[in-house]
Amino acid sequence: MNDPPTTFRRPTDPPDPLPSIRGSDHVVRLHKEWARIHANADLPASRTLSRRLRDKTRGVASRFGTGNHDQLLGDLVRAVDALAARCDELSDRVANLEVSVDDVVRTFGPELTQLRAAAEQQLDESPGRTTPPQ
Amino acid sequence: MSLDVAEASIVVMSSSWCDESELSFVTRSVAGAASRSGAVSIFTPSPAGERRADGAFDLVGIGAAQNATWPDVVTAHWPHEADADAVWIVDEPSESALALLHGCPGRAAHSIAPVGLDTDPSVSQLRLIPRPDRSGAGLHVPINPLARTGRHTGLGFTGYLLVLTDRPSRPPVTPPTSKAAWLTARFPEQYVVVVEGAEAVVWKGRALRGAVPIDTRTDLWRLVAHAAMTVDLDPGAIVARECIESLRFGTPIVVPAHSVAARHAQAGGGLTFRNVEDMFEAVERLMSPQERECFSRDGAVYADSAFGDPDGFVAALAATLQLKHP
Repeated sequence: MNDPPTTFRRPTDPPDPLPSIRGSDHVVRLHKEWARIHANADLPASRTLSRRLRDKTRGVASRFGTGNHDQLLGDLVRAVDALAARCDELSDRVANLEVSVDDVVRTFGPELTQLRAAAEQQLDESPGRTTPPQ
Repeated sequence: MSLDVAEASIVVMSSSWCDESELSFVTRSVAGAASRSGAVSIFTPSPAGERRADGAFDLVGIGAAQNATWPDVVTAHWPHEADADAVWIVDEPSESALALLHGCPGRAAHSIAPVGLDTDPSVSQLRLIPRPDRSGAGLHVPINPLARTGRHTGLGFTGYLLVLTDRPSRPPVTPPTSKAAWLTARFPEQYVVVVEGAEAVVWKGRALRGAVPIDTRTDLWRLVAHAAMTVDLDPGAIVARECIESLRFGTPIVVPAHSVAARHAQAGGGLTFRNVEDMFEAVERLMSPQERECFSRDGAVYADSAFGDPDGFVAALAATLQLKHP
């Protein structure tokens, strides 16, 4: 008989899908924090002493060229969002591929194995086949 | 209790007594059953005069050649002259064993292992499997029915294909033995549990899933009792012990057509195969619950009646050896 079917180095069973990054704790917390900061910024300026102090500080900071942190943070949040979206999309695609590979293995594997066994039996039984000399 | 040759009515010459082979199991069972009908002496190829207790028997050495085989007629040291009426049983009718037997002209013997066509006609093989018409009791093959109550603790599933390997000793776990590779490739949805090297190695969908140790016979019985079927790739040459055990647990068997186990399959306990395609067909057929139920029931009835009756075996052996049964 020829060589037996090759075994796999790891199972082809599709694992559980990866959890969404956009829905992960870190990203959600980032959004919440960002929303909270903006909500505070929308409050009336003279409402609290601490608010007035913060506005004053921000005014001073902008005068010395460090006032566009808000802009930078906003860009960063949007970048994290975009990356998370792309990661989730890639995860979905990999999960689909894993399912497809498993389907192919489970469908064609047994069929090919059955065909190969039948072919080898026919070869063994064919009249032209002779036993090699010992 | 075992006696020396002069006192014994049954003499057992065993070179396999201390092995873990089927031959050893059968020899011990035959000696045990024969001891119910007469005094038994066990001789082994070990240093002359050495006497070692083993359970109910004393193993007496009569000398040994190199490789622990039987000594020749000249150097063999028998404790006493043999009783002329003693019944002689040899576990394996090897050339050296036969030479010793024939040291006494006209001595007939019963062999436990199969006897070759060219073996001296004074040596006949003991019948340990009932005839096809199921007359007579076969060797008693004990099982522990409690193995049915709990699966092997290392496996979290049942209903697998249990494959008893055809590879000796402890081969590497991967790749599996050829026919196990064919089975896991053909039936990717099934767990294929390969028993070899005192381990149960689990395959599914052509991939290795793990291995659990088999420490005791009860572990093996648990594996057998909770399998959908037992595929024995290399059944024992004397009675195919594991196949009988499988049938007694109600697990059908799939075995090579040229083996002793084929007789158990043909008696209703399963199916035989000549090649890989046959094997696939047999396994597929036994996957049908209705078919499996049928083979399971018929196989258990056959195996219990033929190999589950210790008193019947004692009586049948006494009749064969022409001993006086108590």
